[in-house]
Amino acid sequence: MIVPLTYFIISVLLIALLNIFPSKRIFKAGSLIYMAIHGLLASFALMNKGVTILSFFTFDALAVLFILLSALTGFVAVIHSFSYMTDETVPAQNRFYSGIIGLLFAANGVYLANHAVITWIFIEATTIAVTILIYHHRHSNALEAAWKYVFISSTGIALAYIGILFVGGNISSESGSSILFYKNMAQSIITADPLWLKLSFLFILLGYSAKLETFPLYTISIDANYAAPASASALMATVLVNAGFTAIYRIYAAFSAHAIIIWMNHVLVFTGIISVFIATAYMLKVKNLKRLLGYSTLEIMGLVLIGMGQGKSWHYAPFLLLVMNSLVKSVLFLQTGYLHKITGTYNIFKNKNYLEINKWGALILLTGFIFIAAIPPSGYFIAELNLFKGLLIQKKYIIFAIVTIMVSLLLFGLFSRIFSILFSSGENPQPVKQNIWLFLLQLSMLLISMLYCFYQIPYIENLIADLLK
Amino acid sequence: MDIKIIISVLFGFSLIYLAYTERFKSYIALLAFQGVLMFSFTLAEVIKTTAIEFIILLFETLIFKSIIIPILLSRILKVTNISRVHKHALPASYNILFSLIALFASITAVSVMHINESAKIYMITSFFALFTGLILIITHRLMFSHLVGFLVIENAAILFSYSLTNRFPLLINIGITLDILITVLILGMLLTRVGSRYGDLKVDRLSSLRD
Repeated sequence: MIVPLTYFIISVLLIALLNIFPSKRIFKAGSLIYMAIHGLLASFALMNKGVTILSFFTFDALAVLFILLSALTGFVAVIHSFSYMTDETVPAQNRFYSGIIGLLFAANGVYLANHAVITWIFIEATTIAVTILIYHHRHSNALEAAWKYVFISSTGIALAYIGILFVGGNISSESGSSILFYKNMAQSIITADPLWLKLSFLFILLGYSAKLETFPLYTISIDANYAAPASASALMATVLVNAGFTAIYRIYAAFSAHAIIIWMNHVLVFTGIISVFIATAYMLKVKNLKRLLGYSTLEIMGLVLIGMGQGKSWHYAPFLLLVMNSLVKSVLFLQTGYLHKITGTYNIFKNKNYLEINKWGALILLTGFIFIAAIPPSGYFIAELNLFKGLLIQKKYIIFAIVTIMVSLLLFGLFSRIFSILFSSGENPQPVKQNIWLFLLQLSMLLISMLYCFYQIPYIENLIADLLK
Repeated sequence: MDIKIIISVLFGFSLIYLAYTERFKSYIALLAFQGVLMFSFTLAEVIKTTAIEFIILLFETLIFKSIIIPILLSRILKVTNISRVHKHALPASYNILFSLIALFASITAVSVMHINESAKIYMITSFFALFTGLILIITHRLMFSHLVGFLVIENAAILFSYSLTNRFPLLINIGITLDILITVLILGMLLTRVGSRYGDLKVDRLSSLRD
């Protein structure tokens, strides 16, 4: 009880402290203190699965899994930020570190919330933190991305809120909002009117799709990934996406006792296929490396939704995809930031011969791209193997064929672009020395993903098994 | 006639007028009027609310929606120096037509749902507000109209909360009030930055992020 409370209080105090006493030392010390208490929260989560604190926060399997991942990716992103932010002004660093701590804090709130309105409040809080991060560079692209993000995301969240009200008003006429605890919702759902539940699910899926980076509101996330600093994009494509998934999954899980489960699965598969289709189309034409990674997240999340739509017994694949996405996508964004620092551009076709310029960075990029392509020894391989196996065993041959074709096309787009960056000849490449510690951090994340191809970590497996019960 | 029906009908008229008018000052006045109407809903249900809930609702509707938000919006208008919808926006007659279609769609949607007779009028108003907000966002070209559309959708959310729950849960109301306050502050700040950078608030200005 003391650890989570300390985490909540110190996080808020740190954000205040960073703004009251702005100095580069305070930012670094504050971020490290934050990561230490975030690590403490993760340790508490490891040892206290199933515990509920302050009535509204429960350390269930999903929360524990995502808090562990956010602690890991958050730590790596913050350490990278120290290097990326050295040339930035004090006010810019102030905004950045406040935004990073705010995002991690709000995302942890989403993972832990056991009440639909508390989830919704923390999701809204992520919007504020992300907007600060997107508008960090203050140029016209950042302004455009920030306006679109806050406007569309807030409208989407308002629609999700209406969806939550549809559940609350429909299930029970009892006073108060206790019915919006996911546990109570799941127990009372069986007698609910299916039309209301379907409407509610559609509103929530639509509203939170801005966070999950899937169809239909994915566009703002792609722009956000592009405009924000690389270490912030690394968290947006992992920690924030996991928060969006949590918000939708909790409702899906609560509704799954009702007969509309089959209909919900169809909706998820449809949304997933559209997402993968859009990702494929854009990955064949995109010229910006960060946007390419954004579309890759859209593809992975599309596959997650398709996996979710196969029914609970096949949910292993989507959960593993989320774990792998957190490990690998964050590294790719961080290395992309390093590349931008050296070459000054994210344009794929203006970045040439990265292998000559930074061979260790090129190794990370190449390995990361091989991993997101689900080629062994990537952990993605195990996840996608399970996904496609599920489709074949359930005789969903048409979905299998559509997804396989799209993923094959997408691989072409992915590799033609990464090979262009790594191997195409440029004018007099000047080799740059990669920071060895940052390289080792990135490599260790990739190695964990690789490890999963040979050895499934029992604790993670147990958490996923808990979710499949 | 039931007071709640009168309030709902007035709210419906305010939505139709919102579709018709082209002056931003009228938009602000209508949003303030809707805040007063929502407070009237609270008064009509006063027996069901506790003292704390009533104070929160008083703040949320009368003080926040009828005073604070209109002041913030007026300041944005002053800073950005705009007064009317864009000349290339859809003509008012089309907007009224869309508005009437939205009203018809709201009545149809509510008639096929299983809802208490007493809640039906609230629900029609809520759906109508939701559709009106979406229409404002889709058919207008100035970002200020989009901000107003967003606020109308937020009003729809509050109306849904009134019509779907017997009481006004404290948690929900505090959440949505904070949400609107922060969102309007951020959007207002960004809107003024867009205005000072580009000289106007046309959505077309924000189209450089492409693949």
